[in-house]
Amino acid sequence: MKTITTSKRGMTLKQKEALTGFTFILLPLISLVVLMYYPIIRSFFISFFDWNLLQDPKMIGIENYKTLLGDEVFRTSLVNTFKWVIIYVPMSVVTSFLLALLLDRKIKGSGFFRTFYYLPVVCPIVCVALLWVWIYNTDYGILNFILGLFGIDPIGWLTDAKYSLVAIAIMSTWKWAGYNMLIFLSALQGIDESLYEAAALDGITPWQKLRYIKLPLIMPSIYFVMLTAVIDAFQMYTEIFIMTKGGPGYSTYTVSYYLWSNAFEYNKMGYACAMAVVLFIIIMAITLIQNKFLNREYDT
Amino acid sequence: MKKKTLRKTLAFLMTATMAVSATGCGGSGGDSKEEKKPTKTAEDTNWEGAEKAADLSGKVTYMHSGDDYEREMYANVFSTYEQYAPNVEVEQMYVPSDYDTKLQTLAVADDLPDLFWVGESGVKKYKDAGMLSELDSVIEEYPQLTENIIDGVLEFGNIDGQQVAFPKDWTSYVMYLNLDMFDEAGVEVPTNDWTVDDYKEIAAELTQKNGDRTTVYGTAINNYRADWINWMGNYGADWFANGKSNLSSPEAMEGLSVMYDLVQAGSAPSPGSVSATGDSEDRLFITGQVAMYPSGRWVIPSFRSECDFEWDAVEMPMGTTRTCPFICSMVCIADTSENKDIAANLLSFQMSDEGLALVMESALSLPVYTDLMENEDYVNTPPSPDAFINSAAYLGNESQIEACQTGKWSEYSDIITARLSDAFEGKTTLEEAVKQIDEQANSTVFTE
Amino acid sequence: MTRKKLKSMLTYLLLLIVAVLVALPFIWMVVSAFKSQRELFAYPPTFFPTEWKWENFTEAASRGSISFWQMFLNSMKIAVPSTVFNVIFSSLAGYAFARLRFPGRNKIFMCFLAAMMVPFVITLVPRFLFFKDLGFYDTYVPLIVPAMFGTPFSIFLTRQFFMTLPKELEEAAIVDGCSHVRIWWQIFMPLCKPIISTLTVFQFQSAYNDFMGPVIYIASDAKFTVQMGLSSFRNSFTSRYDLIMAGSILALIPIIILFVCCQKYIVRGIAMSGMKG
Repeated sequence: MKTITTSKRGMTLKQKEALTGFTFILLPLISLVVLMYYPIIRSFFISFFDWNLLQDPKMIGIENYKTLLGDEVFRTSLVNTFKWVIIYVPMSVVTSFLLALLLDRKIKGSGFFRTFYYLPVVCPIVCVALLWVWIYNTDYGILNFILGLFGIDPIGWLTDAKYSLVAIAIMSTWKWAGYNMLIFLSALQGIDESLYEAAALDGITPWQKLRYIKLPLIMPSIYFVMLTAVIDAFQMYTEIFIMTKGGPGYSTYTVSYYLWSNAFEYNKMGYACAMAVVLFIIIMAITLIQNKFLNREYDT
Repeated sequence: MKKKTLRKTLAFLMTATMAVSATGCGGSGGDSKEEKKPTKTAEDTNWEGAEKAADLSGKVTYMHSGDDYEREMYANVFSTYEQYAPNVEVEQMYVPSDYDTKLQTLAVADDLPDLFWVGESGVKKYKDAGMLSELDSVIEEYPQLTENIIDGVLEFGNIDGQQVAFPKDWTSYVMYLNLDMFDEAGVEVPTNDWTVDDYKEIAAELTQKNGDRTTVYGTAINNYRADWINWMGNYGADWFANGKSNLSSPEAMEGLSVMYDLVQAGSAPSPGSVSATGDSEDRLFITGQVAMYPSGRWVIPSFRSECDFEWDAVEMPMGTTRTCPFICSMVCIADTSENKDIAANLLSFQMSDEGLALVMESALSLPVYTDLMENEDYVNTPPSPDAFINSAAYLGNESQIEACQTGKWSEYSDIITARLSDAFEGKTTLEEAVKQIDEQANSTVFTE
Repeated sequence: MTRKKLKSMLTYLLLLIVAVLVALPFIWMVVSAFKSQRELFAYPPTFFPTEWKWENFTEAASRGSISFWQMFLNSMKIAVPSTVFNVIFSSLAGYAFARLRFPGRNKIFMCFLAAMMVPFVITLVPRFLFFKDLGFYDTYVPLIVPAMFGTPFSIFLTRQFFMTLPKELEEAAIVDGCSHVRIWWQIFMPLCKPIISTLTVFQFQSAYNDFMGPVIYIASDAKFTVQMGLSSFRNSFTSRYDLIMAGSILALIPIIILFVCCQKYIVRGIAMSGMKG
């Protein structure tokens, strides 16, 4: 990359550029510090206290973290969370990528389909959850009704611990696929047309086009979508809250759900914060690993 | 040209949105200084606080939960109160869902409304935090508050010998019956003196199957505190004693096994299979898929408007004894309130015969006064009031009071829910479940 | 020629199959909204309601202390400013992170990235205290401000987008002595319509569908949002599923209209960026 020549004039230009840069990010940065970092730091401190929010906090050192180690429910929640990430992330990313590929064509009505596929995203979550709860209903749900037509015995989608996470993953994929689809789509449409034209002259197959042109070029988007999908998956809460309340038993307790219960139902703010710190560290570690594997092909 | 219009649009958008958001913050203006005359006075009522009400002036906020129906009911209570107290403004704060979160954020922010509801198990927490004003002096000032009050209801709002929450009503716990189904099956309708054995038998008789599929369940159970407390109490269990969970005591086991056996026998759907489907047991009753359903008074408005069959209520079947769980939102006055006088006056109006009449008509709950329990205007039909009136005699339970007053009920209750659900869904036996509950609760929740 | 036709036929077939999969639950929702409570839980399930209950809609719209229309306006008071400012500030910051050199740039950017990984529940209480102390309780300010200056997510998104644009774009302008504000506004903004449309859509829907925020910050019912209205059909004692369905459709109508309008611009924006490369 050619840098702007340094001279007496260049210096001021560089300073000017830096000043502009700072000005551009000033408000977002302030907002970040005040509304994200300050609360995080405060939460980190809270994790060393026994605090029910209402009374004065009591300093208890690393007691919360010790309790966490022995907490059976937390362990179950952690295992469930990992299961959830492993089920949901590939399912959702692959689905939205396929949708984007499907829509990345110059055809009539693609705008209509795009809007249509995005519809579930804007649908209120309370409504979506209820909708799927019906679809999954063991006795009179439409899914088992349809399966029954093919002679398949009713499946307890949300009542059987074997299926409950998968069932919620399918629902979440349905709900959120349109979101990532848009990101993939805007990346795909950003690819220079001339690349395809050149490739067409070489007579490449559609598969090669995907493998050697599309995939490498939209790698940043894939990386981004994977990252956000993993993070979202770790924070999964609303669906559980509305659909299963963690049940049956503890089979759909996730860390975020358990954290929420501790913070806003049991009033154990310190304990909840300790959980958040652990969750934060786990997500951080995973991001770094992900960074290493997925980020090879493009530089930040 | 194009650039200009864009910029103009942007500027317009900004100012417009600013203006719009600014209007959102506008306060309520129009406080006129002049004294207003009451349109209702002490002569119109037997409420003892009417005279005082006329002299009060100021503003109080009253926060409550419930559904839209209750919101309208209380709006009515407040506007009637304002007729007695024309210089008082009652601001209604209605929280349709996530009430506890809301209450807590307000408490943390030191911005509690003057009056607010707290569930029977949450009182201790707020009292310990010093947020509840004592009500002993209020009770003294308004003796009608405790006149003819049902035994035991005050205890739930009494922490360490001090009254800090007042039970605005109660709900009882009874068995609702689909009479048409009894008719069709030719089964005799149970009376108030029935026993658990009768119950199990009838439940099995009323269950209908179509091949493998159960089309009608004889009864339903709720994996819910009222059911646990009711059944364990009906066998006289000390399921919570000396600060420890004691669900594995033989009596508690026997009580819980009523629910467990019904599911095992197929006479009741497992609660998980119902709740995880977005459905609820009361819906199943309304839609004619459950013949007998244990619940509180709160289901009556929807039963009245939606059941297209004959139905009634009887007392819960007798075990070795009887216990009625206490489920209630209690009214508290914030310690930070600057208008405790008005708050107390409003509370006393709400609990007066006139105030309660506005609320009890809906049949969502029951009055806490024995004289009103006998009054058809307050405990109206259908269903027949006997079951409710009778249950007042055995309302409340030592174990429930003790467990509530640990201030850790919700954590405890979540453990019970999760473990019992494993048992009801057939993943563990009831013995294992209650053992796990005691172990887990006593090692993580009740550690002292 | 015929092969090409076959191919496009196949594409349409696929698109339609997916559309049906997406639509089925929706259609189910629409027909459910017209059913009585009893029919909702009937077995075997009926597809079309035996009796179309239009009352569900009127009841859903008129329940609560304020009208559905007022709740919709309230939701707009939150969604519109937070979306408009979010787009402006994120694209500015995204531009700075992608194109301008200043000390500590990458480190600051990492700080934004890291913030995306924070479970939101953990910032909730300190944030609440912060806004409360400033006297913004029961106003829309705490619901607008956190997204207003760009969320880490939106800044990341715009920055990634700007990174894909060729350097040559602004080099000539810089040599000509154009200010960065002008470069951002005149050269970059017209090119980033796809990303603006995407951001608008994302931010708008998340603000419009936000539920926990209003629950925590809004106290007076005159300020209730659509989502709060919807959830009031569902509480601990009774759940009116018929009303939730009908209410959800009412809540969806405005937002769908909005997206159908936006759709045109999204397509145009994407097409433009496709031409330019």
